[in-house]
Amino acid sequence: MRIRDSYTGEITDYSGLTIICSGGMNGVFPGMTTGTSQNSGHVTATLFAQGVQLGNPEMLQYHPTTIGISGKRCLVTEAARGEGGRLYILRGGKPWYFMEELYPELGNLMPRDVVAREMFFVRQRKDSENQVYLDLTGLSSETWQHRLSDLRAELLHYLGKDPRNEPIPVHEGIHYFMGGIDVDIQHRTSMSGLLAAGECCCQYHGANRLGGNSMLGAIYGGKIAADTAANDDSAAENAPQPVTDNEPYAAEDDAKCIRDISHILLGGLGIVRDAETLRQALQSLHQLWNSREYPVRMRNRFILAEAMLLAAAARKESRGAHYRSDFPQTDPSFRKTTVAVCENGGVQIRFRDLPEEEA
Amino acid sequence: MKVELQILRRANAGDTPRLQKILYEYKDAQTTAAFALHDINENGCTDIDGEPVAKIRWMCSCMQKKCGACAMLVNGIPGLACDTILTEAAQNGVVRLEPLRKFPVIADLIVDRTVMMENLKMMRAWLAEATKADETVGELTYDASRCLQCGCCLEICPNFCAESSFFGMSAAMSSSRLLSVLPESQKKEFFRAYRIHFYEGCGKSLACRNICPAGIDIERLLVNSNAAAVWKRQKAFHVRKEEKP
Ligand SMILES: Cc1cc2nc3c(=O)[nH]c(=O)nc-3n(C[C@H](O)[C@H](O)[C@H](O)COP(=O)(O)OP(=O)(O)OC[C@H]3O[C@@H](n4cnc5c(N)ncnc54)[C@H](O)[C@@H]3O)c2cc1C
Ligand code: SF4
Ligand code: SF4
Ligand code: FES
Repeated sequence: MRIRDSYTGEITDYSGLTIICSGGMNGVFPGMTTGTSQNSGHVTATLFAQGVQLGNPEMLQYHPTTIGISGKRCLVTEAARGEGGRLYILRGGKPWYFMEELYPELGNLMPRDVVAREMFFVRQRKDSENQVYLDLTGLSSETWQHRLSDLRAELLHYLGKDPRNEPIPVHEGIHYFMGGIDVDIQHRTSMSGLLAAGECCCQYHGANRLGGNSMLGAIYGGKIAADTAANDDSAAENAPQPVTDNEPYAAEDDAKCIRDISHILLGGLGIVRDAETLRQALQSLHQLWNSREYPVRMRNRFILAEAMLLAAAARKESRGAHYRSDFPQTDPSFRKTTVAVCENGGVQIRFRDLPEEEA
Repeated sequence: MKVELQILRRANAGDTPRLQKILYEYKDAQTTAAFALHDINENGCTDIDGEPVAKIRWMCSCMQKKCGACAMLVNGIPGLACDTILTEAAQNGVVRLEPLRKFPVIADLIVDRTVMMENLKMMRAWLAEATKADETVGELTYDASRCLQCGCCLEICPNFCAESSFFGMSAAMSSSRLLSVLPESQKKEFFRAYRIHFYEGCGKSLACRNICPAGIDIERLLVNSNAAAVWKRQKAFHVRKEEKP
């Protein structure tokens, strides 16, 4: 495979098996995620367009507490709530600690998908202001000094707010991609000779992910992929190599179009989804596509975006991070992996049974 | 709000550097140099002579002071572009961005910091076998682990240069983290590497102390690392219960 070092511009040819470790697809939503701007989503888009299958591309994790800082969404760690932080919204001018009222047992510490969804719902209410706050004013100085000193420094620096004295406005933000390049238990993709590990692939998390366990994909999964590659060179010899894009390329070249696509995607792949908004998003995507000619690398991004929307439309149920207001229940017949594949230039969505031990 | 960004441009390593001046307008008082660089690259602009600004090459990843990619000189002082709030950094309305000088330049604001990783490899700064950290080493080790390997401390250090056998504070930070949990089998060799590549070369002037964008308590870690590796005080990293800082 021909690889271009994006900093030095050096081009190197490698032979043998390839393990893709390109991380979550933050660049599909530029400036809207908590992750690195380096993960452009370009790798996944390029491979998908060449026939590499995706798994569960509709499964995005929204983290409940993020803040908008210069150019990105910055994560406010769950530990802030673990240490006693409370979420509220102003309802009729008074703070309403909605999580504590709705979930008396776990309150603010419910799983991310539940908290993010409730935040979305309370923000839509007519009697509420459209802003949720994280109240950390009750935390002890011991906590600030020893446990959350970094968080306080960050909030002071980027928001100019001292969380000891004033509540912090927070918003749900995209944090993790449970779906991605479809791999088997040995981390092989659907293309022979090509493996994937880490957040770029879909292997361990299904429809949801608890905080802290991306180690599973990045470290354990990375080891499995390395073992597979080290022990199996049979496929390497004749493996059809994916074509990589070796043109000097920065996502910034296509920035405007990438942003347009991301806005369309956010319309369809929000925290709460339904058939109509997904249909509209698909329609807008096609309009944008038909509005002018695009280079191949942009075409790949359109195809990827279409797959994400079609997968969300096909999964007519709610499960984990995927919530459909028109199908609010979990439907056991969808206890399957969504598989997206690009065939003859068109995107196909199918559902695959889970391997027996997982089902 | 307005600031004059002065950016040292080079198309490649061999190119003659020239300072390009851009009048940059922004709305949010918290706007960082990192945001401005993205913005200029995405939306394009002209410099003060009316010339279009070619894409500015720089390194960026996290945008929130967590990865060290965007280290550069800001008005002559090493720092992170994503830590540089334009309003605060401007001197007489100017923010000058230049690549770090201690490393070879690749283009514009990108330098090649490979030597930092190579130096750690040379010190064999890794755990060769599984080991256990007992709970008392937590706080210091955590502080050391906040090192971004950004290289700002190397830039300011009077004793460091890319070719020297003195590896500088960034290597000492990685060493600190390791020293607190080092298994018996690695001690002799690693203590030696620490002495040769750090202890003997460091003048202890602590010019690097206030530059660290991660705000690591460098002095305190150094005292403990030296105690462990040079003076062989086994418990250097163990904070005793009663003396919780
Ligand atoms: C703010 C934040 C906090 C988190 N906290 C935790 C936590 O506490 N616990 C936990 O378990 N998980 C956490 N996660 C998630 C976890 O960090 C990630 O899932 C994990 O780092 C992914 O590892 P990876 O190696 O798969 O990908 P990454 O670490 O994202 O690495 C991907 C690499 O691919 C490179 N790359 C991508 N595209 C290209 C391209 N086109 N060309 C060249 N290179 C490319 C990138 O430069 C990058 O180096 C957090 C994530 C964020 C954003
Ligand atoms: S104390 Fe001085 S010599 Fe030692 S690493 Fe820091 S700047 Fe360099
Ligand atoms: S010690 Fe500080 S300045 Fe030096 S590399 Fe680490 S984070 Fe950067
Ligand atoms: S981009 Fe990561 S430290 Fe600035």
